[in-house]
Amino acid sequence: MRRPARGTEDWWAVWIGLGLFTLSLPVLAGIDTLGWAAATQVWTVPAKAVAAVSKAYAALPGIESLVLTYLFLLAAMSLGAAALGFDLRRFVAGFSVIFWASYLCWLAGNHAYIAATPDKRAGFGIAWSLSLTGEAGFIVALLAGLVVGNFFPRASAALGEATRPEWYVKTAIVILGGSLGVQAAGARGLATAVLFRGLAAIVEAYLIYWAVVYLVARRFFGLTREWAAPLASGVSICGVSAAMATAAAIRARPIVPIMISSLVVVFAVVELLILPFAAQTFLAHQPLVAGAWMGLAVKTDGAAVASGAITDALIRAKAAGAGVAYQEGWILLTTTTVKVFIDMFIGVWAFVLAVVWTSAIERGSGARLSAADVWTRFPKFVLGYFASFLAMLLLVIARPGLLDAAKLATAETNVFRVLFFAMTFFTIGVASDFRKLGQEGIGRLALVYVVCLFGFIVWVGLAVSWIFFHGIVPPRVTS
Amino acid sequence: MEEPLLPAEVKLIAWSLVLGVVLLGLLVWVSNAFFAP
Repeated sequence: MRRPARGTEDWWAVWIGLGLFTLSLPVLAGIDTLGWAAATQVWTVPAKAVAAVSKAYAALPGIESLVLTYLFLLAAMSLGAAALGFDLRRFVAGFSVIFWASYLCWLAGNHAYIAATPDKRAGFGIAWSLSLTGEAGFIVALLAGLVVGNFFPRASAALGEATRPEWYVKTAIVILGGSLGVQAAGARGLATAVLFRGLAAIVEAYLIYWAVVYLVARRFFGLTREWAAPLASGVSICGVSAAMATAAAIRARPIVPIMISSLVVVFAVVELLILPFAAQTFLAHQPLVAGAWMGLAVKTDGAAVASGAITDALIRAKAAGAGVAYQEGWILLTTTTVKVFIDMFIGVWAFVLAVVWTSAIERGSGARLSAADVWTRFPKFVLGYFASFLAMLLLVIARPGLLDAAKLATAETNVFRVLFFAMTFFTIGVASDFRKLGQEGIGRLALVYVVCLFGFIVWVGLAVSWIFFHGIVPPRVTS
Repeated sequence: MEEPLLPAEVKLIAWSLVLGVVLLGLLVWVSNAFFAP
């Protein structure tokens, strides 16, 4: 039975996201309140796939950790569902199915033959892998959801009360803020020259990449604003998170960021397989240019960092052949710095776009929006993202000794962020049908993506990396 | 459905590109002048 709603999905994403963030904070004082949550690793042996995220709960069996995680999320989301006036019985049943289906997809996507990057294959004792990184689980979830949505309409209808992709993704983005705040604070200790040059990446990604991709998509490919803005963010900034944050900020339909995210993940793999080897061939004499290039050109955090790791190994191996022994990790450090700096501004950019869209683009018949209208339409989850980002950033800057504990706190909340993302992909699939996908034109979207990525972003990224990092080489091994 | 570029979109694109090029130039100068490795 439906009751009157108290609050909105937007606000409840903020409360639940910040609630999880707050629950992770006691670990800073040595009280590990969320360490029991189930983290999924890339796996070949099922028994080793799931374990509690914190070593403090190492004795807790993986399956029990997973059941606890499910029960905890069920309770949190049911609280929100009750406040929002949903039919609670139908929500609980639907959420349970969605959680377990999404989790199984995430688990499947993390199998080593699917997820392991080339630098990790030896560790798993495998000769090949698709190198899709664990984020392949999102694609598996989307495909599974599409199967349910298109071939099992009664099941799809039964899940309807809990098929809430926007609620799930906004909650995930609020949680993401704390994680990026810690990364930003942790980066303060890096070499100043590398850090300062990393600022160029922010300018390049947000002001140049985004504007050009948006212009190309709108002017030359005729995409609507609803598609062009999330696509520009996906291909320019940080893939999945940026596409989702932008889509929510401009109030695009849920199908939009999901389709773009799928393209991002697939093409990040193509880049991961090509660019590190190109860097080894052409940039072995400019190691940090190669590192920065990986951070600027490869989309999705996982694929970018994996590219940096592979490039680090390939270039050091080539240099060693010429009698030069570079210290390990500096190329990867450059990739990570560039990527983190870009990630930090996802919320700022979502804020800017939300203001531009609500105040200038969606004014409809020319009537001016009042401040109250802008506030009503403003995506509140962006505020939750900023709250968690600034809280962690300022905390670690004020107390640098807390960095490791803060990393553990965000690793614990990231368990829930990943699950929310997986449920988002699954529920979008459930809510979609193939005919709609065809009508939206995935082919044209992929064409814009490929043209912008390989015709512009990869090359401008290389040029800017060269301008800022050429001539800087890692320290040499002294022994 | 065709959606023509609105003046607000053109402004957003133009301001982004101009600001981006100016800031990149400024960063090149500052990093060479004050943060040389």
